[in-house]
Amino acid sequence: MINKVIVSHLLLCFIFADVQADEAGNNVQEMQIQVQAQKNHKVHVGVLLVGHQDHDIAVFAQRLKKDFEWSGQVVVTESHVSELKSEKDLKSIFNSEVSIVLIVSKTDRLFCWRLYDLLSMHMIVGKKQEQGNLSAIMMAHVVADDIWPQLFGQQSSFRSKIAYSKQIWKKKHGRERPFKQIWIADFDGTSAKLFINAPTVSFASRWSKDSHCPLLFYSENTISNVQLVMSNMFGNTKVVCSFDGLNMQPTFSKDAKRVVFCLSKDGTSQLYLSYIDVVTKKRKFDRLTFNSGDNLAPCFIDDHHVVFVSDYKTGKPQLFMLDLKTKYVTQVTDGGYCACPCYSFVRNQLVYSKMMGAVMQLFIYDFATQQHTQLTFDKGSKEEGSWSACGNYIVFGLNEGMHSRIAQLHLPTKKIRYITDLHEHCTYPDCSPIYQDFIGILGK
Amino acid sequence: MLRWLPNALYNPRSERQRFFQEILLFVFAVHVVLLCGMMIISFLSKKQEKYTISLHQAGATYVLMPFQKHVTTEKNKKSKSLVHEKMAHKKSQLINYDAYQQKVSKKQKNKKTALSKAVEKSTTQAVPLPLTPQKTSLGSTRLIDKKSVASLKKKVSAKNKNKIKMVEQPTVVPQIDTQSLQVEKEEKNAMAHQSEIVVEPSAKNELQTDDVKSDQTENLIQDDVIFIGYEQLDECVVGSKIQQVIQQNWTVPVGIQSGLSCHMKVAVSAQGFAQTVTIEKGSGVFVYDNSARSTLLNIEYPREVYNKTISIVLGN
Repeated sequence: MINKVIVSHLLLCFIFADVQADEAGNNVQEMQIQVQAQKNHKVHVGVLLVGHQDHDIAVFAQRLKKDFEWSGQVVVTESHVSELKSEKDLKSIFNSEVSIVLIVSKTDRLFCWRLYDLLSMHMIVGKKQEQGNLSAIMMAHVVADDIWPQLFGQQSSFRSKIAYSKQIWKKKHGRERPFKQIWIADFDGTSAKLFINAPTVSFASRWSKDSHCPLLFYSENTISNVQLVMSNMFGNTKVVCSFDGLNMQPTFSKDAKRVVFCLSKDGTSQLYLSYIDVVTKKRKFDRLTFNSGDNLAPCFIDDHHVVFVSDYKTGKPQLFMLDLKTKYVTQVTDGGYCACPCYSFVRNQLVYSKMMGAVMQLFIYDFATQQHTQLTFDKGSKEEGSWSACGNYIVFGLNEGMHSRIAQLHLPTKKIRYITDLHEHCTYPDCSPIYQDFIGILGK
Repeated sequence: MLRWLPNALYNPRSERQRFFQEILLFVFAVHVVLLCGMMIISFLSKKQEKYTISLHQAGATYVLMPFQKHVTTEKNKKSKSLVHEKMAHKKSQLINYDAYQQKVSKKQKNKKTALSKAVEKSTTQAVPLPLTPQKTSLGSTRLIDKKSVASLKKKVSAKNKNKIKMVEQPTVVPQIDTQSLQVEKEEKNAMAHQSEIVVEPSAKNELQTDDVKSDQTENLIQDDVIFIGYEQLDECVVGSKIQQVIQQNWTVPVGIQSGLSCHMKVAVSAQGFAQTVTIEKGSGVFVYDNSARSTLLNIEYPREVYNKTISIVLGN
């Protein structure tokens, strides 16, 4: 009898233990909810100026607000207090929509800023920066470039410059003649300043890629040819290349040791590679293309590949890629009328113009996926696309009837904005990289 | 051994019996100790237990396995797939395992018939009917007239003539730039994806749990089938409620790149609001994580998750 009781108890225990083990095992299993957003909103950022407000800090705050709001992703609310006792007061200063606050103060030439997260009430990042020779506007660009990656996880290029050609009419020998000047403006077209004012046509400007050595290259017409000219940031120029015919459109490798450009001294426009020989320490010129067509607009993809435009194969301009080591040429575009390539190292993508109907539209070629994507569909011919340093903007020349303007496409939001006025005839834009030194016109 | 036990319980007839009784008593004692220990542990860990919501894929088909509490993730691995953009707005559905099996068998039959039809089409020729008697399904025979054969021949030849005519006069299709069309489509899709979309009614994404409908098997896609046990069914319902609330309230900053996701851990209070929201794994974009966190702090959670900790993945 006792044995039966014991056995039945044991059986019950085994069953109960099994159930418990099963439940314990199941409680450990984890699953998660996955949710996708269906709406978008702009980020609300508050800018709080603390302390004495002078002209510089007012200009700084205004410019900072414009920088953040330029892309259409941020809404900035400004406020000013003479003293901030504690961070807890921030919630009472701004409305509930503001979740991030930038506190700025200035003493003499020293700017102090701190970025706060109002949700968790802790500081994200802070910095003290000397203004030095920088203008208040340039200071705002620098601070915006420091803050933007913290918020959006992306590079920004607020302090880069855009160089472009602007046509003017001047009297020469009793006649009104068109000339083209080189102008340099901020990334959004503001603070435009005349940079090259030669009594001729100056066009096709190209920035150097060396971040420690800012230079601007451009072509200018002479009586006998189109020569390649170099200028530093103070406007001092020097003729770099003056062969017969065209000398234009230089492109620089990432290490800035090699440059490929177009020369038409042998009849048709061909590509030439210029570099300094390691042994002789002298500059050498190597011809890269030997076809009967016109080869134009080269741009470096990496240190050994160059994309250029040529019509040697199909009679219509197509994009080709040249391997500098093997001299092997592969076709990038297939059909149509394609021109004006520009490469972005950040995105590993190429922007170019292609004739669609009667107008040129902007296209993108992705080297990773090898896919072509059309970016623009509206009226107006889009040419000379140039990537910004951050890879989020494409600046291009827009020709609509009698008007030529510079416009800017913001890729994340697909918005197009005009950089120059309707009545100004502007072409050939080029975005600068982010230079380390703010010398000459870069600091203004 | 065990001499301290009272003689009433310990009355062996032989040494062998005594040995077995000792073993049984020892095992019994060990089991009692283990059970007591497990009960104490489960009682203590109940408050810290992480309550998890079942994985919910919008647009998926949930197959209820009535005799299983939980279905392991290994079984679902083969049938799980990435959430497609097209499926994001599709209704989820819940079906019985029997209904699922019926649908699968129907699908297989349809496939077979489709294959056989395709084979027939490729191998069909104008074959004249034989004059010999043929057996019908009823078993009786009948003779086929010459007239009927001739009429059949005429029909076949007419069909062939029509076919020849169609081949000789191909329709002129205007040349369409397929590349630009594809690009346009991609562009439109990208624009639609980025533009502000009004939140659709919550019913579209809500799991139907009122009735287990066996009729909603028309759009069964094998890759989006998830097997769940009867305990997981409740979790699915709760998960869908939470997902619905979050989707109604959550907005992503403009211009953020696609493909981001962040893992959040939410401790829900007894009143149904979040006590704390911590980021287990961020997306790398501060404003994105911030928008997710502020949404989770402000929404009201269903009663089933009061006083529990839940894990939520926001994004793709």
